[in-house]
Formats: sequence, structure tokens, C-alpha cells
Amino acid sequence: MHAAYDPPSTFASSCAAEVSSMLVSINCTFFEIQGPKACKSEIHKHLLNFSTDTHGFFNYGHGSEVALFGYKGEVILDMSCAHLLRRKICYVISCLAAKEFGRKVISNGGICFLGFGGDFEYSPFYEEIFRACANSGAKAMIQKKTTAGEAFKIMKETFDNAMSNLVKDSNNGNWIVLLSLFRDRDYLRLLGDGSASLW
Amino acid sequence: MEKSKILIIDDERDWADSAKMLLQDKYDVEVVEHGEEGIEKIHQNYYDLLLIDWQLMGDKTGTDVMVEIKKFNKVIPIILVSGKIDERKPLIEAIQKGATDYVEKDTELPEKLPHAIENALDKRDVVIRGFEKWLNRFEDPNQVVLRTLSGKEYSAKQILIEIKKDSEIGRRIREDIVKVVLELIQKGEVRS
Repeated sequence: MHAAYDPPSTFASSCAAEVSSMLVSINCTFFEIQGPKACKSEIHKHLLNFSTDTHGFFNYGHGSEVALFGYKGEVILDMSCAHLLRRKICYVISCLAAKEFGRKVISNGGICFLGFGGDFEYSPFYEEIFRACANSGAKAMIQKKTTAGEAFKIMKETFDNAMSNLVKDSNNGNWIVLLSLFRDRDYLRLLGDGSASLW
Repeated sequence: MEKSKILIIDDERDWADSAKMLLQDKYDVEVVEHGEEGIEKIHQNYYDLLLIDWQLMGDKTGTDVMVEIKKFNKVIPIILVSGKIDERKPLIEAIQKGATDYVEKDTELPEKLPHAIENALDKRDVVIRGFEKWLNRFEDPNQVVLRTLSGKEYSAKQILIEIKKDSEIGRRIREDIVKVVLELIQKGEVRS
């Protein structure tokens, strides 16, 4: 699920497009809900009808401690419907969602929830670096078939490497980018069963 | 520009008052006698630097107080002060637990103490100066340099203003930057 309608959600959407390409390249069946279709009714319809045993839920967009937002800020999932993510491996590139909302998902039967417990920050001038970090866990789970726990570790390492490379490449100059990468890495959370995998 | 704030935690009141006299033209200095009182003050207020008596009497030694402070504020510079001591090993251990520097309460204090304080603040501010230098590269300081997925946007200018006026956000950003750099130093990525 992704919906580009402002600069942050456009960035998030570009991350999601990369994940879609990965899924296409391995002939995986998936539903991509994007743009104006990223609304509550559409998401709920898909989640209620989606019946395969193992599946991931990838969300890219605005979030809060208690909800995920779709197109133009519509609440698509919140504490009252966290059960819709039961038996799902959730990969959520949204602000703050790995707090109350993530915990609620797990307590309502979600398998695991990989996301951020703070404001996900990025610099518009270094979007590629942030995209690589944000998608490194998804890439590991989809292409390398890792567990969520391994993907979580790979994400942390990707943030670490990005910081190290920035320092090496630019005379320690990109403070904002370093700061954002550092915070984002610290905000990473894995809730639930880290041994779960998509395949 | 506002004076940097210094808190002295020392139960030797005469010495603490003399140090305050020595420093007060340049710094905003407060004095408390007990470790617990000092910790409480640091929880409630912002200080740029702490002077703690290593040989503090009472329930907590100077090292105990320092270690406790470091648990919730890793970046504040702490200078330990003490009377003349013969055995330096315990003091070295205390410094390894997080003190920025150590100064003896001897006759050279008027020279040594201000120098140690300037040095400690300078070490801390080198990071901020680097940050400022980077921000100055922007032709348009109002250009957005940071976005969040909750929709907040920050320009270089806003960030620098917040840091300089020492607002709550500015302080947090400054401490975060210091943490970033300390972590990278520990990983051997940058030279201290």
C-alpha cells in the first residue's frame, strides 16, 4: 500500500515501487494498492478477502503511533481494526507505527511487525541513501528469503554502512543526513516473531 | 549571546564559592552541595558543563554522581575536581567512566580551571561548528533539508536557529549530533 500525494508520501511511494519490482521479478502474486485507491474501504476489502496462508503486508506512507494513513491522510488502519493484519508479516515504512499500533497488531494475531518507533526522517537531497536503508529489510526478505529477524539486522547494518560511507566520502560534512540515519536506525523496531519468513 | 551555564557540585562551600567568583563574569554559575540535589537540578534544567568534586562526601561520591548523570545525559561535559591526591589510579578509573577532564584544587586553579572549561566546551562545540559549516553550504537557507514521514519539514536555517537559541528541539538535535559523532568515533570512522 502506498499513496503519493505530498513530498514525504511521494518518497515513500518510490520506495514501494522498488519493492513491487522485486516481487514482479520473482513472479510473486501480490496486490498493489496505490494512489486514490489507497483508502480504508479498498484496504479492508483486500485484507478481508486475502486468504493465502503466508503473506506479507508492505505499507509505505504516513503513520502515527496508533494508525496508518492512506491517500490524502485518510486513516486506513487503526487500533480498532488491527486484527485485519492477523497472520501477516508487516513491513511498515511509516512514522511511529511500531509503537501502540504495532503492538496492537501483534496482540491481535499479527506474526511480526517491522517498522519505526519514531518519526522516519530523510533528506530530500539524499533520498537514494534513505531508500536503500528503508528497503534493505524488504530486499532481504524477498530476494534472500531471510527471516524477519535477519532482515531487521540487515536493516541496522545498512544504516550503519550508509553512515560510515557518508563520513568517508564527504569529510564528515553531512550532519543532517548522519543525524537522520542515526535516528532512523535507532527507531527501528521488530515486534512479534522474528523467525517468521515470507516463504 | 547567552552565557554558558555551569553547575558546581561540591560540599566544600568555600572552594565552590571561590570558583563561582572566578567564573561568573564569563559563565552563569550555580552551586549545590549534595550529589542528589545536583542530579535533580540537571533533570530539571539545562547546563552546558558540570564541575563535580571527586571527593564528595555523603551517600554518593563524585564518581557515583557522574555515573548517574551519564545514564540520562551522555553528552554533557563533566570536569572532576579534587584536592591534592597521592594515588591517581582511582581517579583515572573515574575519568574512564566519562569525565571530560580533571583539575586539582591547587594554587594554579585560576589558570587551570578556565582553560579546562573552555577546552571541554570547545570539544563539544566542534561538532556544532561542523554542522554550521555544512548548513552554510546551502545557497537558500530556507530550502527544506529534512522531511519526516509524518509530514514535518525542516530547513537548514530553522535547525540552526533552534540549536543556537538552545530551544528544547535545538538541544535535542545538538545532543543527537554529538551522539552520532561519538558513535562514529567509537567505530573508528572519524578522528576525535
